Amino acid sequence: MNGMRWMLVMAIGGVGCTHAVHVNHTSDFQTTKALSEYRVIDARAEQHVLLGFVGDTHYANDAYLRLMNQCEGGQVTGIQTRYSTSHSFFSWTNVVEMKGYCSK
Amino acid sequence: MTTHALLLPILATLASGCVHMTSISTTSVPVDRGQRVEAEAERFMFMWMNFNNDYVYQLTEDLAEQCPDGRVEGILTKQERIIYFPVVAHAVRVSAGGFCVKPVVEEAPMGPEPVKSEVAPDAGETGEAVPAVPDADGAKE
Repeated sequence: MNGMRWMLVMAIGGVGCTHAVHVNHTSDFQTTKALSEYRVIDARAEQHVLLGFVGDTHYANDAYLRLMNQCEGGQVTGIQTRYSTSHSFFSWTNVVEMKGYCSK
Repeated sequence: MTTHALLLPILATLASGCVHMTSISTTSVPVDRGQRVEAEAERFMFMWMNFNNDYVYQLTEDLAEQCPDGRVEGILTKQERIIYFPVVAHAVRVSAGGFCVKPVVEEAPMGPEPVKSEVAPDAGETGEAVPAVPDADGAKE
């Protein structure tokens, strides 16, 4: 019983301290000039999940659109995509972060 | 009926239709974003039973078919796990969307290219004396 209490205290105390990275992907680089001449852009989208009940993953597309929209008329290359989860008490937040280089 | 017996069907019903992302990747986004192409591949699994993953190859074929004369760039690929009903019915869905970029074809000029004359300009035009050209016998004019 004492062990169970400890587990509960640890679980509640540890809420918000754990983050899991599921994917870290880097795209191709299509550069026509020095990388220092590119503009660094980034985008982030989140999804809060309660007890695992969630019906779509559109937030990932939102992050992608936000990144693209920051580089109208230019090419976005070297995109680093990070998909992670930040844990809370009986809920968690999925996060997609994208960072890339805009040619314009 | 115990509380657990009531809770389980409620949770199972709530969990039905849940979608979780398992993987995401991108490729470089082109300047030309006029033509959007999308493809999707899904495998239904009864009690997680799955015997091959070849269904994902259909995805690339579908994308290529939508862009026969160009190159697909800016591809966002997602892999999702779908729960139709807990334990019993699941699916894996892989979706990809990008932009069809047609190669820029430089238009060739109409008609034959103008030939640059290799003949020396006329003396009358330049005012210079035309050098004497020997004929076939070697005698100068």
